[in-house]
Amino acid sequence: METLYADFKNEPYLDFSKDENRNKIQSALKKVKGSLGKNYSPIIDGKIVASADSGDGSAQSVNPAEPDMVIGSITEASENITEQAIQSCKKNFISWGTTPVSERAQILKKAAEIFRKQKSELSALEILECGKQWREADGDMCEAIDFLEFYAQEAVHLFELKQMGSEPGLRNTLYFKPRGVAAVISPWNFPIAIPVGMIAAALAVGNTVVFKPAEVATACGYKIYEILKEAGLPDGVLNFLPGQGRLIGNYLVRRPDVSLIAFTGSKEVGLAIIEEAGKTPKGQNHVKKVIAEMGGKNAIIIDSDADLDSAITGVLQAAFGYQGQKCSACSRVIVLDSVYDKFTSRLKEAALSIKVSPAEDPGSAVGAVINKGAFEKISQYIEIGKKEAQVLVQCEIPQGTTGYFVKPTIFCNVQPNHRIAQEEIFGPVLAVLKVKDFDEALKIANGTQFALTGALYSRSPKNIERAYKEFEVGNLYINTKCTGAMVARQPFGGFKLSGVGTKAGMKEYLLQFVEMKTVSENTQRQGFAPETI
Amino acid sequence: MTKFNSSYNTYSMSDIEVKIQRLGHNIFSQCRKQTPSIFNKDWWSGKMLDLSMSNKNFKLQLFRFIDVFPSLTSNEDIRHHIQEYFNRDDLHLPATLKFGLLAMTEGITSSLALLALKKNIHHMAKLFISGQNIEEALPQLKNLWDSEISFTTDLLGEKALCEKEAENHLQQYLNLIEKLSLTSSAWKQSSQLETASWGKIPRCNISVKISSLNSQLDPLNFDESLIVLKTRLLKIFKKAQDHNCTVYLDMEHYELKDFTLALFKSLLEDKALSNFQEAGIVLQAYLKDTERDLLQLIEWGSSYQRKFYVRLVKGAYWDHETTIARLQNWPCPVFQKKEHSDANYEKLTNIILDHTNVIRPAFASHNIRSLAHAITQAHQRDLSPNSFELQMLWGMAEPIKKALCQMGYRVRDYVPIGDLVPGMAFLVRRLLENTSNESFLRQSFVDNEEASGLLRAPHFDE
Ligand SMILES: Cc1cc2nc3c(=O)[nH]c(=O)nc-3n(C[C@H](O)[C@H](O)[C@H](O)COP(=O)(O)OP(=O)(O)OC[C@H]3O[C@@H](n4cnc5c(N)ncnc54)[C@H](O)[C@@H]3O)c2cc1C
Repeated sequence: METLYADFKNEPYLDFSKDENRNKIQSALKKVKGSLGKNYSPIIDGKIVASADSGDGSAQSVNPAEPDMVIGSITEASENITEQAIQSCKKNFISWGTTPVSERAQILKKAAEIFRKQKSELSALEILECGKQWREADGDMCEAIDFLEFYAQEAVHLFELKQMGSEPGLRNTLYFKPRGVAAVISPWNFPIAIPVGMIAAALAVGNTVVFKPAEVATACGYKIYEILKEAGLPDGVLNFLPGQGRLIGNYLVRRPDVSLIAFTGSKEVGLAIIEEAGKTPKGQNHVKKVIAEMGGKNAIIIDSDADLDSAITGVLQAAFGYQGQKCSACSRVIVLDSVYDKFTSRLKEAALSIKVSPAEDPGSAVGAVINKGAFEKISQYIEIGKKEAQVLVQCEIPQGTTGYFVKPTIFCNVQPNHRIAQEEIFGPVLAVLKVKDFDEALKIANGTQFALTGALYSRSPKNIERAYKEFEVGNLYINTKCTGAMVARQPFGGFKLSGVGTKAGMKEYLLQFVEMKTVSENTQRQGFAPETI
Repeated sequence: MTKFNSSYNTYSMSDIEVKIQRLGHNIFSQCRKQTPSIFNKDWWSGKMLDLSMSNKNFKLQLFRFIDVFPSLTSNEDIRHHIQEYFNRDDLHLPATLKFGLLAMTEGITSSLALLALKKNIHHMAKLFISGQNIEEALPQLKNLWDSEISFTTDLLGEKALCEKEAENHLQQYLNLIEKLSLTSSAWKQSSQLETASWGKIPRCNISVKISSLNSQLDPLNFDESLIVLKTRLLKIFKKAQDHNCTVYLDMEHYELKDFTLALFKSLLEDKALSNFQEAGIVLQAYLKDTERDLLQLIEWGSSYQRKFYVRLVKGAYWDHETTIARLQNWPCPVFQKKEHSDANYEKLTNIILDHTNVIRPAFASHNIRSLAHAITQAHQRDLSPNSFELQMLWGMAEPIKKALCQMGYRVRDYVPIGDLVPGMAFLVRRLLENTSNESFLRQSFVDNEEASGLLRAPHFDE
């Protein structure tokens, strides 16, 4: 088998068994807490801008585990400002798009270097602003660094001229050119890695970027802007637009000067973007390209011969890690009849043993969900689950907290058509389904609108082989949990209603950010050609 | 490197090296003609291990099959797995074996053949695991004792998944101490096993894996994990104090190493244990960190005026540590050459023997060279033979134990107790270890390499 990217070295995670690494995060948390409360405003052409219709700075990003802790105030961008940002990007595209790829790559690599230096503080910020546990935050940082390094490296390869065919007399060359202005609309659940990935891919191949971070991750989003600028990105190549997705996002998607939209988020918003971007308003001389990574209803199958110790550990981490708020999170576990009782009773006990507490607490296995809206939506689904199925276990949450803690909940006796087995909940809610055999397990696993991630715990070579072929997901994991994809090792992305576009973290991802051009030059003159002379 | 070019005959060899090799040859001459039970080819297990040592593909499938075996509940399940694991072209199995294996999957004799297979696998497990529970193990321990071999017992069931399991393990350990001390008090006196240079030592001795006592143990959550485990271990240590029992904390994966050391110190610093002299810790010579850890431990012990046991081992998780480090892009914590682990073992042995004011040494190894070195170095320092002990794993290296025991040394067996399912991790580690190309036992008793090569002094740089 051919090995891809064997030389790419992923950024190593912090080894938290070493006290120096624990201390790094602990002191970063202290430091970051001492400097909270900044204002975040739109930045265009390197300058803070405001307009009559922009927000008054009363919007806030807060710590979900302690909503009184304000991370920062936000001056939300208006339509007017968004238009300015687009125009700035359009103007700057002329020079950025023709900057040699090696120079662009250099800036991204420099940014990776700065990220590395600020890793602990950025992790601390994520822990506070988005409620990510220490390991999750550190993982996010490493992934961001990987994206910068990887896309920088691969863009350089991509732009090396490629000749097609080898016949004499006609030289066929393949070129790539950037598309233009890219709108990056990013989620809060990987508040640094996902936007960095989309931005780095767009910039590496020469697009300019209007960056709209998720509002609840504004401070993290600003850091991305700040670091890229420090790395030497010219003003106006990346414009920063904090504010409401509904307003800014909608506007960006409609504008004729936007060539490309890179989006990660919910299925509803993703489908709306695809539909809206499909229209071609007057004055728009291109069809917009949409790259959308949407949702999942990811299943883990537990085969009758599974190693239950590792299966249970894996299921709990995949279902409850970061409160289940990952697109890759496990929300269904499909268990073969013969191990069902053993599995569920141990799963229940294991769930009762984990700690729900603010992400800042190094012992936190589950923290607060991102905001009030999420809290309410997840709580509603738990009520739906109680009507449809049966509660296997519900974990306790901290007493007297003001944070957005929902009780991590596992339902059993769930039927495949139940809403909790079909709809993306995006919270610490897990549905357990019992099946009679492996055929049924695969059928149910594949029986949703989504096809993002999935896992199988089995020690049967035959069933493992079947899963390779028949388990319909973009990222399949065997005997390991279905979250935590790494750049260049497990390129990430799904199909069906889980998304459109090529997987992130592989070279082909970049192809979506460029146009391709083939040039055929007749090199013969009077019958002689360079190859024959 | 030529293994047979022994330095035994070279005149540049130091006095002490001459003595080490002389002792090594002496031990070898007493046990070479016997076969440790795991390599005994009269048994199915010996045959299987023999084949896996020459056939890598078969070894992979066999060990994977043994790993899945305890979770297979029906004959139907077992049949499927045999088919899937062994009916493959890349195994190149001898015809008789292939026929035997596939006979289990069909035909009228299949149920009988399966029964035999189950028996054989249980037999293999029983080579390393003394019994499913304390009651089953006690007679085995008594037999050991009667043959002048002491023991330390360990309850298998390594990682606790939930707090209920962890609490349950705790209760089992408390129960183990009580039963051991009650039963063993009726056994015969043995001056070889019960007298150390510092006085009388307990008959009861247990080894504890801390990961079995807290399901949420995570070095990231250091302080809280420490509090939880300390509370639980204090119960074990106090019970041990009341029943005159030694307690070792086993050393597990590198991830838990710093934590385990901190926990050990914290326990011994506790007032409730200020008079407890029977605590022990394990250090792994394959770790590059260990020399520094040992020196810190000695310094700590001197300043707290504490005495404790140190069991020096090479380390049982070499494959795991090497794989994890590569997977994570972390610096590899273990030496990459077997000889370096051996050399470090000797270096650490010397440091330990220089600090018997703090440390009560226990050298755990089946490697005659490593043991001969430790014994000779102790002798060189005028330490009496009962000022240290030699430890080996139950079911392994029987001829070596017998030889050392007859020479008058205190030999202690590490005796695991537990079911096959929780014992699987332990069993697979032992199988890997014994069939590894680098294994001293394999080289001595299977590959029959020359004693002089096997006894050669290990060096860090070659
Ligand atoms: C009583 C007792 C208690 C034990 N308790 C523990 C414990 O708490 N924790 C623990 O981890 N182990 C423990 N062990 C196991 C021990 O660590 C060894 O795995 C085992 O004893 C084999 O080592 P050896 O000296 O007997 O044999 P040898 O054959 O001389 O050495 C084998 C060892 O060499 C090392 N090695 C193999 N290949 C390489 C290589 N390529 N590079 C570097 N090093 C290599 C490995 O450590 C391997 O186990 C214990 C052993 C005994 C006897």
